[in-house]
Amino acid sequence: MSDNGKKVVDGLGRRDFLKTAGLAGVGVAAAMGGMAAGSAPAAAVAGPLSRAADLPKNKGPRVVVVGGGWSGLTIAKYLKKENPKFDVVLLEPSAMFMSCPLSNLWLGGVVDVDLLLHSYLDAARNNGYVWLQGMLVQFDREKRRAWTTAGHVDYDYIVLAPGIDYNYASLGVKDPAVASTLAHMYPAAFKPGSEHLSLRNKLDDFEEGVFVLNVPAGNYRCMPGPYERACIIASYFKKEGIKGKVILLDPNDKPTIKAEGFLSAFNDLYKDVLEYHTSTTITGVDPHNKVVETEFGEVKFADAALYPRVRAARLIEDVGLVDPNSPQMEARIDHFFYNVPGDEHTYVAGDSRPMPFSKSGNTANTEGKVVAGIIAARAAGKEPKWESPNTICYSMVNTDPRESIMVDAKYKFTKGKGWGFTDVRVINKRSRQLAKANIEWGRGLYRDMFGA
Amino acid sequence: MSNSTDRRDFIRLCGKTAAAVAVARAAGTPLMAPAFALENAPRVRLVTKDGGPLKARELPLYANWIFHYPYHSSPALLIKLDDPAPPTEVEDKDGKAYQWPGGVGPDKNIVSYAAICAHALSYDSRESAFLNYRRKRNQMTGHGRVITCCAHASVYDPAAGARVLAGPAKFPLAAVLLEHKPDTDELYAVGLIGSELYGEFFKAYRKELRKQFGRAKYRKMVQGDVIAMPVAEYSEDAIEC
Ligand SMILES: Cc1cc2nc3c(=O)[nH]c(=O)nc-3n(C[C@H](O)[C@H](O)[C@H](O)COP(=O)(O)OP(=O)(O)OC[C@H]3O[C@@H](n4cnc5c(N)ncnc54)[C@H](O)[C@@H]3O)c2cc1C
Ligand code: FES
Repeated sequence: MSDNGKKVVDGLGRRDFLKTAGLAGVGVAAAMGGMAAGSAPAAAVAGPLSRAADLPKNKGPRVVVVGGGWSGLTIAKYLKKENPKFDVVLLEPSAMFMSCPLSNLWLGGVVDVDLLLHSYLDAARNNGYVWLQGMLVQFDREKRRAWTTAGHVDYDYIVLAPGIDYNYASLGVKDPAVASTLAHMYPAAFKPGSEHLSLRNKLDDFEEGVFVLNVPAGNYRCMPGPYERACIIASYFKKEGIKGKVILLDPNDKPTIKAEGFLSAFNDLYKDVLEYHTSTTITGVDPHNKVVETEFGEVKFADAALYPRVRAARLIEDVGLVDPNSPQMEARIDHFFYNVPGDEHTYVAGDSRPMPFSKSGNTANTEGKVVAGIIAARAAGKEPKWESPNTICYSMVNTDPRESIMVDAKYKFTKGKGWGFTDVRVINKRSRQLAKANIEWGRGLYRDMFGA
Repeated sequence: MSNSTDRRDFIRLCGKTAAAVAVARAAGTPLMAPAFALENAPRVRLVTKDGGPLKARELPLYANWIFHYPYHSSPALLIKLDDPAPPTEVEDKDGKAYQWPGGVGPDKNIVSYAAICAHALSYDSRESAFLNYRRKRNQMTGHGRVITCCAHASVYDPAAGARVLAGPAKFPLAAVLLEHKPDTDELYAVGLIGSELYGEFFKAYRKELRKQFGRAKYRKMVQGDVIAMPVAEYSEDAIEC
């Protein structure tokens, strides 16, 4: 699998100037040199890369947090709580935040889209940090300078929380051009924004036939997500009287989480509208003829949302921080303190982490507070403390009436065995009350990330 | 707490103020300053729906009741525990110790806390009550005789100043100070100590609180008589998890 991942990435071709900047580790001059060698017009990137970002003067140690998702938003806020003197800069290119969690509920018409949308300005203002709208391009760990599309920023600590990207080779699609077509036609909708809007529009437009969903192999983002989505779409077909069927293809022999709760929902509620195929891996996709290939034969579909295997965000590779042992190209960091080994100024958190924690918003949120504590402790010359992140995860399995199930778990490390779950509690019996708690779970965490 | 106007009702006490004395009096224990106490806390009598006084003896055992205190829109839980709850020392959000004065009533088992979660402000509204006291063990953490907030499974010990037993909350619920009149068996709410979160609460829920309690009234303090009733009656759903 690691070979697979590697191939795709190389195939997609990263820009040469980044490679050069990374290798030389010296920044603008080298980056410029790399570009002059022929891959990108220098003028296109020279501007932002060669000037300083517009930022208020830093008064205390500066921490740049890269990525304003569940991880980065939490880390930025709690760094300020840990030490109000920190000068925190949250670097995020999106114009506003759109939540992945609860997006399935919006897909099923249960909540309005405004529940999912939030302002980076509010988050920054309420919590005393700065939002810099831009992307990290490269950084120099020795000089502690980050080059971003909004100018360069000097820092004391940097945290990368850029989330995930997709590995289309895992769907048997090796040609980057076909992968790009696939990403446009049948987006996975496991990254926020246009992918989700596009999926919602697909459902609105759906007339009849098969809608294919799949579960990827490995440690993918939001373990219950594909199962919940299958329920939501099936529920929608039922409610709207659509002559459609959801086909969910899963390489596992049962749902990876809350299995009992999902299986009983499939069985009790969606017998006629949902087919769940276990131990079935997608081996290829023909986007134009709308066919998914599996070892057991082909599935013809009317529409689909295809979820490739997940890898750490491309950025992790671009800046040379991939763990060579990680099949999902996740970052090489200390598993307890999140820093790059031998470098207490560079951290990676959220879904790009290499630990096999559930890639969830709740994990990223609880972990973010721990990471903020670690950085604050080190900045104060104290010993940092590890604490397990917590994965609380609700899934709505019925929209009419609304009913949810849930799981709550932590993690522990055992010598010789590695990471495992601990303190696991599952509520597989779906209920209306848990559906209310499900929505409140999200509201609470939005309050946490965006409120004071 | 970023909004200084929201904060104006609260002061850091240093030991000699009226509120601190009230705590000590309510507790019947040596004077110990709470880290925070509500200034000018209203003194209100708890009554039932029909307007008659709520008698401590008539409050059912294991009651999971609600009333509004100290503001018209801010919910508090009223609980009757199995056993007497002795005074306990707990720590507020800044790590400062304060003395929770323990249960009141003939059996010293009636306690009260703000029904606003110290984690991310989920609260008990007409639509849904996310914080509830139950004797039965919850499914999320396996704790019984606790207040559970079902949003993210924070668990508080009502017999010990709402100390956090599990979950993401980092400090206890604010405690409502109660007084019991032995001669009439009436219950009064007389103060609030611990980590107040009303600034954040109003900010987070301004819209819905205005709608339900009125623009002028939602952040005014209660006075006179205040109705207490079972959460299950007040709220469409007393959430169980
Ligand atoms: C449909 C769906 C449902 C889900 N449901 C749940 C749920 O119910 N409960 C739950 O706990 N979790 C759920 N999740 C999972 C959750 O969304 C993720 O695990 C979480 O978002 C991970 O946080 P993160 O900060 O690591 O990544 P993200 O939230 O994806 O944030 C990464 C951010 O980094 C930014 N970025 C990337 N590259 C750069 C760069 N070079 N420079 C600057 N910024 C960059 C991106 O723009 C993005 O904003 C769900 C996910 C999906 C898709
Ligand atoms: S708001 Fe109560 S546990 Fe999060």
